[in-house]
Amino acid sequence: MQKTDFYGRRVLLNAEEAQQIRIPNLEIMPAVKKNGDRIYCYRCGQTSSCDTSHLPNNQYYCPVCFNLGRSSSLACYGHLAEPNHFTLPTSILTWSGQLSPLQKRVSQAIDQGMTNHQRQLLWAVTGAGKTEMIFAGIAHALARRERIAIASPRVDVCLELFPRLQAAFANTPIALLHGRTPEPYQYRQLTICTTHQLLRFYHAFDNLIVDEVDSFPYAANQALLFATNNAVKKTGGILFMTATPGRTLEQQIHRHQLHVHYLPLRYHGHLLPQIKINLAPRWRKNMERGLLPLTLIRSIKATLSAQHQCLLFIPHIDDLPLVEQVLYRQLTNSRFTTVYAADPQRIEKVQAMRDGDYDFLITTSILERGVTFPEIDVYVLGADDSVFSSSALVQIAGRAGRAVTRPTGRVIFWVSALSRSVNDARRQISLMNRKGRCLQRELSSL
Amino acid sequence: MNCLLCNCQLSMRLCITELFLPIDHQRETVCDACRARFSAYHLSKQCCPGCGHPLNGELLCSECQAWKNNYGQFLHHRPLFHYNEAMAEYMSLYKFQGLYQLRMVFQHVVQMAIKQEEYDLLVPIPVSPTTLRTRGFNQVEGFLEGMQFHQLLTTIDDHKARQSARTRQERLVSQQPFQLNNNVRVTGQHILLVDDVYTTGRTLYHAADLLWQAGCQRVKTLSLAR
Repeated sequence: MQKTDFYGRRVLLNAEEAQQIRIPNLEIMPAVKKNGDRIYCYRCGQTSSCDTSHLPNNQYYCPVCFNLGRSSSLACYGHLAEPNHFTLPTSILTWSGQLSPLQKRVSQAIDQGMTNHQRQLLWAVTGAGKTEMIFAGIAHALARRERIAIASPRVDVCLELFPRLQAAFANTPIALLHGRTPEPYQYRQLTICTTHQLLRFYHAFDNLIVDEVDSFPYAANQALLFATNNAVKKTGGILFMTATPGRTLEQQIHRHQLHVHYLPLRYHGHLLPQIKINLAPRWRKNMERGLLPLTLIRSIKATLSAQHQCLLFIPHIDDLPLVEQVLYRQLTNSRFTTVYAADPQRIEKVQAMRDGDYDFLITTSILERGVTFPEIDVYVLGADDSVFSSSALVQIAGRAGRAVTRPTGRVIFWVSALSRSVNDARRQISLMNRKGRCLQRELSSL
Repeated sequence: MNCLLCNCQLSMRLCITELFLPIDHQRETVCDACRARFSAYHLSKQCCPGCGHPLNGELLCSECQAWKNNYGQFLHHRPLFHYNEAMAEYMSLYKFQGLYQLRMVFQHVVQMAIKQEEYDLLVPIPVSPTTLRTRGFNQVEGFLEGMQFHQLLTTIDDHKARQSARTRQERLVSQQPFQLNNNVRVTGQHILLVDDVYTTGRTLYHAADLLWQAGCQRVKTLSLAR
């Protein structure tokens, strides 16, 4: 193992490795600690009960973060403080694109926040061009010899970010880390990784950027939140980016622990379509009897007669065949199909929908983000189901009105009763629209 | 309580007697969907009496015949589950990632199977001291927790490299990795040897060979998977 492997990280070593290793000043840290009958893990900050986490002979391990190598009382961590040993290229930012005046304003504010190592939140609606807005901040931070990381809960987001950043910072080598990385760890000034990989870092980054904070598995995962705070230096800054901050982040905003930058308008300058609620008590019972809410059938018919497409979201995979059957009977001459996570033809079906081969898709929450159909309406049956979090609902509603040609769209939810997540989603959208209207007025008065 | 393998919520289905009588009922540790991914052996007449492998017509499968030629006798081995994809995933989590709590997934099944056997001494296959230091547990002993067993065998250090890291040929020619503890009298005893996975039979035949030489009357073997 090399010295650089330990810079700003905690590398898991078993007892023998720890004895054999010859690195001067290597700090050896314990992996777990016993507190009464609870086990505390220094890597993920979680406690677990002795019943589930004991080994024979009074040894213990952490069952929460075992995926990164078992953290146990038989092992320890090797750590070296981050020295920021980097050689800077002559030109750092090789991106030559242009930001809109709105983006430019936010970009400057973020740059300022990163200079001051603040905790910030970029709350921008979907499709606002978030990645380009952070380039200026990263470039200046790199010039200050800071160590930077961009983390996302989703591997596909990381894989998509990597080429874009490598193009924008062509002379800076970037490390890409995720659970399936084949090449070994490399010490780099700029790192792109999944949020799980942050668990391996300890006081490493001067600025950390976390993209799509609200998405699974990051949101509500205490271990990953702990890892985020641990991965940055004590004086380091964090920038969260999302279209839908959850409750914890909103609370931090209210307590003024976060500096927020809003970007409430889409690139075409229109507001988000607001969610309309329709009550459908006992829709599930009725569905089992072969009935769907009449308003739903009418809405789909209206969409189809206006020559638009739509997405119909439902809570569970098991409901798909039932809904499909009922709709087959009701809408005899329209083309539609179902899409779900484990569907082998998922990508083909989505492409066929884009090509206009289908009038609408019935789907579960897998199409909630990352998929753009230009001129669609969005319907959700059973939006009060617990599988839909408020951020998922905002993302679903955000599928509508993405095109300049049709910047509005109908977003209708059918609920058996109003739930907190539905209300939260409506509230978040109206908040962004309120801010958006102010901005629109400001822009028109210029 | 959540499923140990997929972490979904487990619901307890108690009947009325279980609710009111102080019977210690077996608590589920895995959900039905995960349980269904494992496939149990159903031993019948058409199975090899040596290893439980399905037969077509012969008295003994070719592998067990080879063992019989080699040692003069063969083991009456009893596998509990097929070594399928689910079992491979389970073994990687339990043994190699070291999630000791996963012993609960099969502890009950293994112990029930052992109770059906007749034996004098219950002997688990040992792991090497190096493995024990890093892993922290013997995966077979994890299944036997709460039962009385005798650790008759110890590994000659570094002889028992991990079998799973070897090819079939390398396994078959491997050297005797075990030695017998001298302080237990095994002459004339019925032994039940327990291992986690039976692949070629090499490990169990090495262990059984030692016990036969020491004068055991009969050696039976049992493994979680084959």
